[in-house]
Amino acid sequence: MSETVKRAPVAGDIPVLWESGALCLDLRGIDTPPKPLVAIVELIERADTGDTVRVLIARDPINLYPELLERGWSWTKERAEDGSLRLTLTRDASGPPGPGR
Amino acid sequence: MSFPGTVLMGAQARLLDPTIPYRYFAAALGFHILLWALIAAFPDDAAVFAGGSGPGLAALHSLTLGVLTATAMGAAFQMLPVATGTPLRSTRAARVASWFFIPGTGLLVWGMAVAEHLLMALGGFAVALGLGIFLVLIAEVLWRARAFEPLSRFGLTALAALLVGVALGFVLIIDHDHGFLDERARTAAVHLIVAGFGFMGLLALGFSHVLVPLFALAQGVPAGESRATFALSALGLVAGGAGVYHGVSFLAAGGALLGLLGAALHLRGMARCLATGMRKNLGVSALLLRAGWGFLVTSLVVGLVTALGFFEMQGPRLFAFLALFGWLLTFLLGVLQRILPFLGSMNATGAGTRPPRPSELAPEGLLHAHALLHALALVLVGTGIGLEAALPVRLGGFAGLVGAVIYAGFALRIWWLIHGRPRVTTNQERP
Repeated sequence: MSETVKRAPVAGDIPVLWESGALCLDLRGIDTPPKPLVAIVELIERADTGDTVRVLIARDPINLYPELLERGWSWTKERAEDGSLRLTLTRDASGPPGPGR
Repeated sequence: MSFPGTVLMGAQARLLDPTIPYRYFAAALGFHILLWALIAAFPDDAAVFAGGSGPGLAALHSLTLGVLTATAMGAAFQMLPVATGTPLRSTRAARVASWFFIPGTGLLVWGMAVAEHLLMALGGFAVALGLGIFLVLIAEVLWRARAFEPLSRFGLTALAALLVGVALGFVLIIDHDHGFLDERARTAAVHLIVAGFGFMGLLALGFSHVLVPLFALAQGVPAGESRATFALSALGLVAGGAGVYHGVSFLAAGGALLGLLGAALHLRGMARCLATGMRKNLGVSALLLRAGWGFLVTSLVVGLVTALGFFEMQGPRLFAFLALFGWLLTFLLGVLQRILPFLGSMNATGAGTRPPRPSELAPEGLLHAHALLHALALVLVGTGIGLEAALPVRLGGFAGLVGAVIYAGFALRIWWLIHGRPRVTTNQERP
């Protein structure tokens, strides 16, 4: 169960939620490219985001993974009950492998 | 660090077998080398090109079909399903299209170079078949993805322009032997405008709505602004084409003016994306994108001035050169420079290997060298066309040729890095 936390929205108007001890984005209703990607990258680039971010998203964000690699984040994914995808993004202990471009 | 496993959950349906987009990109890189080689070897043809078969026409179609259209096909087959979540109905058909289109373009260009009508007709027929398959496949994706307004609006109109451009191309090939057209030069000019500004131009504007915000990590262009850009560009295209065909100067000039207004609105949106995006450093590709946009405006200004009768012979040549080489080729090389490493990284992710970062795949040195040589080639060939002098065209052709070889090296290096990497099979996906 996720709840809204007091954080500025990402990508203009997407609220940041809190779920199971980590910040979470529910992007299931947002399809306009590249808004979901921008929202996720904006959140993980914030200084106070922590080391784990959860994302609920309707379809596999293929173009997100190169951006995560650039920033030193790993990911796992599992299918949610409603058929959408649940991503768990984790900051690598070694940090970003080099300057992201 | 742990690495992601195989991309599943419908993603494979959207992320094609990399040999599909890469075969089009490889063809484009080959024709990119060929076009500059033809210009370097036959500079007189380019300096005073006035239509008609020969190496000048062959170089022109190496660019328009071999480089621009081949890249558009590879990018559309791969990027549209990823961007819209709408998979192609048939990936086999995307392969089959390449079997007709790529050799057909080679045959057509060869036929144009040696002025052999049969080769041109056979090549043109194969190209038309390949483009026909592409058109049906992509139109179907765009139709199902109508919710992605800018992509479908610009894309479907671009495909309609492709249909007209191919039909006019066929008429010109048949006329080459039978000479039935009263206004061959005007028909050829409309063919150039419809194929260059209609098909490639509108496709470039539509794709930019997704690609530029994706590159810059920025919010997209507001829907109202995008609709206005589309209306101005489409009206400009129709007015410009009609004005040129019927020889009505004010109509052609009005078309160029509408096109300029559309371009200004589009560039305002693109500039906002680059200024507000999270990624501030887009490297050399940003230089090429901006230069391409500058040439878009310049080509339309030259088109406007030419329509008003201020240029005689050089006007149409400069207009075509600035639009095709300056705008479309420069912009496309800037886009491809970012897409290839990104796509390489995405494909490696899909293959279950330790994925490389896009920045690992894009060495700045090679890209700087290419950009410098490309700029030099444009300045020299443009000067040669303006002065009707062969020497600057030849020197520009050589600069472009070396740049094209470097660019091909950059792409081959990505392919080698993706396919030469050790495979680390992991599975982070939970059922």
